[in-house]
Amino acid sequence: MQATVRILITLTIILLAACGRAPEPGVLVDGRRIPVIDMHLHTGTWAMTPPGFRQRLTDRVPTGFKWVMGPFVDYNLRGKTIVGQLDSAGISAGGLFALYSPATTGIASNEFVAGEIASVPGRLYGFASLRVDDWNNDSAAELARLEAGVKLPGMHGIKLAHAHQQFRFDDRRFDGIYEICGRLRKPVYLHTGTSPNPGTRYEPPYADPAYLEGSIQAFPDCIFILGHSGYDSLGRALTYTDSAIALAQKYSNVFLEPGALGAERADALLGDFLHRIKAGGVIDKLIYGSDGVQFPGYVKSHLRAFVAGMREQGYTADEMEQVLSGNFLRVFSLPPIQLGSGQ
Amino acid sequence: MKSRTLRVICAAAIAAFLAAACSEKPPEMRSLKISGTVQMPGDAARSGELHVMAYHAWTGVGELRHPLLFMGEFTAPVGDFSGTIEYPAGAGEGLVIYAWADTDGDGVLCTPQNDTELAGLTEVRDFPADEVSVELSLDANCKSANWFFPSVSPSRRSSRPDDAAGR
Repeated sequence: MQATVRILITLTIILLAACGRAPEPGVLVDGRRIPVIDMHLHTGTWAMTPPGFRQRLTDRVPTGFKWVMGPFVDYNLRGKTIVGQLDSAGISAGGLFALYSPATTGIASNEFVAGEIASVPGRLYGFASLRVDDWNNDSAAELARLEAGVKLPGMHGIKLAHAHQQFRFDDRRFDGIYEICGRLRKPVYLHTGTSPNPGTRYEPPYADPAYLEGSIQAFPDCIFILGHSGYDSLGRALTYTDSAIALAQKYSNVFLEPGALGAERADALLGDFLHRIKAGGVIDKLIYGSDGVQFPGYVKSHLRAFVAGMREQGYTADEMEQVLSGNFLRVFSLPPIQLGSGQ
Repeated sequence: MKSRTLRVICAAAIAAFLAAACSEKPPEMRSLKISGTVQMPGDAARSGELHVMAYHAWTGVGELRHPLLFMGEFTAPVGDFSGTIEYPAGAGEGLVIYAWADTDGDGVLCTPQNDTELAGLTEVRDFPADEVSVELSLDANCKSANWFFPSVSPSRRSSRPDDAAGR
């Protein structure tokens, strides 16, 4: 019954969002409007979603309505729908990730991501990826796939998720990925910490970025963005966050991203997380992302919670601007966003 | 549209809805007894716990097909071992047994400060079965199951990355 009510509320939100006007872009802080980029967004299709992940998604839906999830996912993860969500949150642009995680969250190919980006010109920055599940045989072909992927129009970086792709951070067979990152100046975003998705590896070598230090040292020209900043989403704890912060303090080529820490699930942790970032002196290393779009209204509620958290922790307007867009623009060598002249 | 046709369509829709609502069954579970022996280099510590994990060699279809679907695990003292796992039937094909020796007792295969713990893997050819016996050689430091499997196919053996040759 509760799930049915949730579905009806979601459908109502979709209808209202379709009819409502988008708010003014940016976040208002001390009378100043700050542009926002959400660097962590997912796309994909139901057809390329593995059975375990499908089960997790449909478990939220009452029996008899489960067939709705396929069409909903296909609609919700399209580039145009994602940008509609960004608009309703006042977010100027987003990062869109390719995925090759056949054992966990599925596949969104580099070509598919490039196509979705092309459907909404100027709004999404792409991140290419590669398969790693048969590396002993396919490493050369997969590295070639990655190199071709990051050269597709609209691609700005690389996406990896060791815990979902089930390879250890300290497995040096994969250093070829970081070599491409450094040589082509395409920063690599890596999922750190855990996630509740079936098939995820939870042991420290797959979740704790400390295991990545050898590769970080070996590839100083590669920028490593530690996704989720070591947030242990399954255990709802900041288990590996200090480890991520320590690397960001120690290495100029390490940055952090707080995906999902503005979600309701992490409500009790956000203040502590933002305090640790400020106390650790790494505000200039934190690049905002939400891990959206998940469900209608998620990117907006995540941003709202995150901004409120920064206010509570005493972040200045300049510091908020660094986190919400400045650090991303600097790392990816992009021009400033002019608010008011269109998204 | 005639009212009779409409009634038939409605009845079919309700029947389909009910069929969908009632068609979910929990997967059938099976037991697999795994016993085996362990070989380690002469200078390796033979203390602590052995973590034994069973995987299906392959699962899925099309682009989502991938190796190493986790089936179950157990621990036993380092040495000859025996244990039983429960796994859902029909989820994958083939059987791979992987194990590593937790010599420092922290439950983690190697840390940034300790890279001495050993792992090994073997593929079981005679599967499905209710009981298998394997011989495991633990001779590679800090390696996960995907370091061993899928192994290099003969046609590609010459192009394997250098580090994959082991420590």
